Amino acid sequence: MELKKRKKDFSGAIFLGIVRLMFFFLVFVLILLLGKIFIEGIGVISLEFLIDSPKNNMTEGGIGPAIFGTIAVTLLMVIFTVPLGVFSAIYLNEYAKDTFFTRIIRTSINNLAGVPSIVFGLFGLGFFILFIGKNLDEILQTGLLFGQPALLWASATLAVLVLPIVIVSTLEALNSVPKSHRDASYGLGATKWQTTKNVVLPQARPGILTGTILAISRGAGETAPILFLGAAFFLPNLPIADLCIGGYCIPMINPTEQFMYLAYHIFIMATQSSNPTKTLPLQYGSTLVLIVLTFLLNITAIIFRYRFRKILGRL
Amino acid sequence: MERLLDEHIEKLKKRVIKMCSLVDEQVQASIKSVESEDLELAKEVIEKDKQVDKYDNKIDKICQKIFALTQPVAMDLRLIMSSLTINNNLERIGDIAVNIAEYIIMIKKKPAFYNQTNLDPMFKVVRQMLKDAIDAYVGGNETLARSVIDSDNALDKMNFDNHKILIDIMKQSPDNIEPGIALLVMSRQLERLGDHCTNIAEDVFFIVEAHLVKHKYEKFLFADDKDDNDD
Amino acid sequence: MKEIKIVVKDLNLFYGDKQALKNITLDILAKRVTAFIGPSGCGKSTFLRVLNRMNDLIDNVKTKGEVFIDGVNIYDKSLDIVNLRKNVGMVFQKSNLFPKTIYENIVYGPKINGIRDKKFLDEIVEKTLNQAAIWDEVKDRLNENALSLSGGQQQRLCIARALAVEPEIILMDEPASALDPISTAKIEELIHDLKKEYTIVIVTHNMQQAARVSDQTAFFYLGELIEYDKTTTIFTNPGNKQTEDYVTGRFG
Repeated sequence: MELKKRKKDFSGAIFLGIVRLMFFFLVFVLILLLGKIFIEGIGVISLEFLIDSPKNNMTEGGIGPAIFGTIAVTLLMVIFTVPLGVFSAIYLNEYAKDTFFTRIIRTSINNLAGVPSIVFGLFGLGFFILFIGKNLDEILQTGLLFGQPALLWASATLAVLVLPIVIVSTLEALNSVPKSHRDASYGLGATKWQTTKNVVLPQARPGILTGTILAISRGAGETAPILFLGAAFFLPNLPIADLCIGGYCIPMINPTEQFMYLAYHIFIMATQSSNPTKTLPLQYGSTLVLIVLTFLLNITAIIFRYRFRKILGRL
Repeated sequence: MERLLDEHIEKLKKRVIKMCSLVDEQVQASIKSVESEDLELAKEVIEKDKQVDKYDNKIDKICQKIFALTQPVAMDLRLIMSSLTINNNLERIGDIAVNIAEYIIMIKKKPAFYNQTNLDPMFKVVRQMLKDAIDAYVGGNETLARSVIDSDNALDKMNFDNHKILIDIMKQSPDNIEPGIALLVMSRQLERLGDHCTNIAEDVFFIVEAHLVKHKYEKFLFADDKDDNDD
Repeated sequence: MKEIKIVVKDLNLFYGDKQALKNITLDILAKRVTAFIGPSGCGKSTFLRVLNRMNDLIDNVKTKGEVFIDGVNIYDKSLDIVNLRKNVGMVFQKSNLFPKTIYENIVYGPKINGIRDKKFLDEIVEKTLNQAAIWDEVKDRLNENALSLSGGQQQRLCIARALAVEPEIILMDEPASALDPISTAKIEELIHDLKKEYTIVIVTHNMQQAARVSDQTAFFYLGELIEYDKTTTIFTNPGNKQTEDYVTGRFG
């Protein structure tokens, strides 16, 4: 056996070089972006900033209401989109037969993800506010309660916007459950629903949560759709109302009110403020807060996902 | 761990032991029928040979089944292979018992010159050899097996002497020829019986130590196992 | 007089246009082990799944013919399939334990059937784990993840799980093909013990295993039943030349 000396692998080295270069470029851009935001914005962060309303035409004060509005809208969006998306995915994957029709549905879902978000905004306006809201008002005789921009419709529209994300993630998660587990369940005499509930869904939980995380991140950062769906330039009060039962009153989010929204707030500070120099640090601060907020929402879901994965022994 | 094969092997062992005792009874009865000139007994021996054949088949069948259905190796394999050869030898011994019985029926009683021959001592030796060979096989007793193999020489000599004695007797008178031939045949059959016992004893070594001892016994006693490595 | 548990008459099965099983007719005896052998793709696994209607889960499958278990045609339109699968259990080629604890895996079947009493469930767990000859190994670890066991232990656990719903018939699809020789021997011993109470049908591509373990053997080739007889006969003196060629290793 003749042992040869190692030859230089040129193409391999070049490839490795390019890949490394790209990676460092990416890291560089990230550091630049996040670093700038952090540096410029951290000076503005304080408790008052996080709680107070904006004052003096957005040049002073805080972003409290905008934070509140973002959390409220995102929460409501999740409540709308997750059940709808997960159940649709379950139906598509576990129950529906593979026909031409279902294949069209799947393609449509994927394509929906590519629709520009402003289109969703228009859809929300036309469908939710002008059609459903108006008719609801007529039926319930509530005057002009539902037929106008509000938290409710903004969340609903965002829910539709992020629906493809949730559905696709759930489909992936359901598919990742091995067929053999379903077979085992059927073999023991379980019905389809029992199998789905006891075997498939528990294993799909991490994937579903991933979808939820992605949906939250997307939804929290959207500006275009909510432009005419209830995001307000300025609101003196938070969209809270008291829900009174008997003698007890609990403050609850009022979905029929308008709201302030972080992403939107940053937009108007940048484009419609009277003094851009003064608002610039505030913009950076707000952006920082938005990023951190999204991050925190994600972390919560990630922790749940970690716990589920541990139970499944997949860690 | 109890294996599925063990059930089959137990069954096989039982059948072989039954075959051993059947054939032993046959030989005892056959010899007795000559010693006591008991022709009824001789007829029974001939009848009972059917049973011996039956067991011969049964043992063949179960060995075939074991080979087909399980994959015996090592000790198990040797046990089953040797069961087949012992079965064979026992069946031949059974035939010899039948032959001896047939001859006593033919001559009806021992001739006058019977005691001049070595037949009685041969009977004694053969009885012992068969008993020892069976005991050695059942017990895996190599010492006993060796003594069986050793006894065969004496038996061969007795048979050889019988030839000379009987030929001389037959020369004396034509009336002596028929009984003389019968006794001569019996002597030869007893010598063959001794050989079969020796075969059985040699198998004991095969099972216990996996040495192919047949035909090479003397070498085995004194030399190393160099020769046993050829397939 | 041997009791017959399953009667199959003129069974034909199609995957779309392709015919996978042709005119299968045979009787499976009760409390015996019946083995299905044959080369890859001969239809033996498909036929096994006919017996508990697992093929119904595959799109495009058409099954024609009759299968009677204890006199009842299981392909009758009014038959409760869920109940059928309770009575005809299945063990698969690779262990498909759920990613839950050992305890939860075993009680999955009984719970699905409505049994809630914890004491009763505990008894079921102990009984079936004993039947599967694995109680001593896991009795202190019932709350551990089932997937932490070795391959051989997992398969025995799958058998215990199947026993927990008290079937009368157990179907095994190459249960030991993914296991090492010692684990395989343990599974074979287990089958030998189980046949005292259950009717067992086993598909195996390992002929020697079929020879060791079964009482009756059926040889399949290209979707047809070529020969079906006592195992001893198939392996000592098969009636059909194709069978003989297969068991002697001349093809397949």
